[in-house]
Amino acid sequence: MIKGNLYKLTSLTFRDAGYVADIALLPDSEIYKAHFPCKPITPGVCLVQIAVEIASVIEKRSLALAEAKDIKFLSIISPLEHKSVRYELSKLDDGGRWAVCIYAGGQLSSKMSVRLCNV
Amino acid sequence: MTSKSVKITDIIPQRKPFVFIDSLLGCDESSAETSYLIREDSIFTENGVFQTPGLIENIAQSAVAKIGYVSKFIEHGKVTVGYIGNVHHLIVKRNPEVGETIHTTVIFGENIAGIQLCEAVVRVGSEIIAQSSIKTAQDTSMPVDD
Repeated sequence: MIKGNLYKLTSLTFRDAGYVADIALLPDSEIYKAHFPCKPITPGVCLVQIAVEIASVIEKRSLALAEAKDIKFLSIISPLEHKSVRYELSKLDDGGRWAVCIYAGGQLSSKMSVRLCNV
Repeated sequence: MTSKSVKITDIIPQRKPFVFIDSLLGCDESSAETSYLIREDSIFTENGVFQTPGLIENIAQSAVAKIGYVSKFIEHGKVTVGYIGNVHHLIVKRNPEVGETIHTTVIFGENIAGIQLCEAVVRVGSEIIAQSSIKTAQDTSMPVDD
């Protein structure tokens, strides 16, 4: 779990048949010092892990990433420029398929179609 | 494929604790193979199991290691920061556990406008545990200092 290390969940609401979660990135995280020493950038795989952790909060059980049909990273999320990041999550079926869009600075930054499973 | 005994942080831009490969076992023009021992204290280890985002990063760093090796030791240039652009058709049969060593093979496909397509297979011994396609991009404006 990288909650508390890389980010804090600041709000989670149900809206228009989906969930909207706002997170605050923590620029002092050891992850930012390592990725990269010359410039802190949120690792794409951490954006994926955060989606799994938010879905786990929604479902009130521990979930893990089982499959990814497609994950696109469209723009860089810097903790210095984007302190707040928005996740929109939709549960597509009861088989664990989710669609997730991530917005930073009002811009679509990442889009993923994944299947989550119980741990 | 020849063996490459180099320090891994000489050829990838990531630093600990965000390093998810131990060695570049070999590489040639179109492929690379790396190894990584799953550790208890890894960011992506939970209850002794290495989580899938860690596997994706392992695949990406395996691709970046070959690109960095070529930049540094063949072209005598600098290692640059790289990003994952896309992960496609990732299938995980099982997640590796603490103490297991994963071997990741990356086959390099086409490179269009600096976007490198790679096909990756992750194994424990002879068992395939995960497969994926990824696309990576290098940011040549951001060289990593030694």
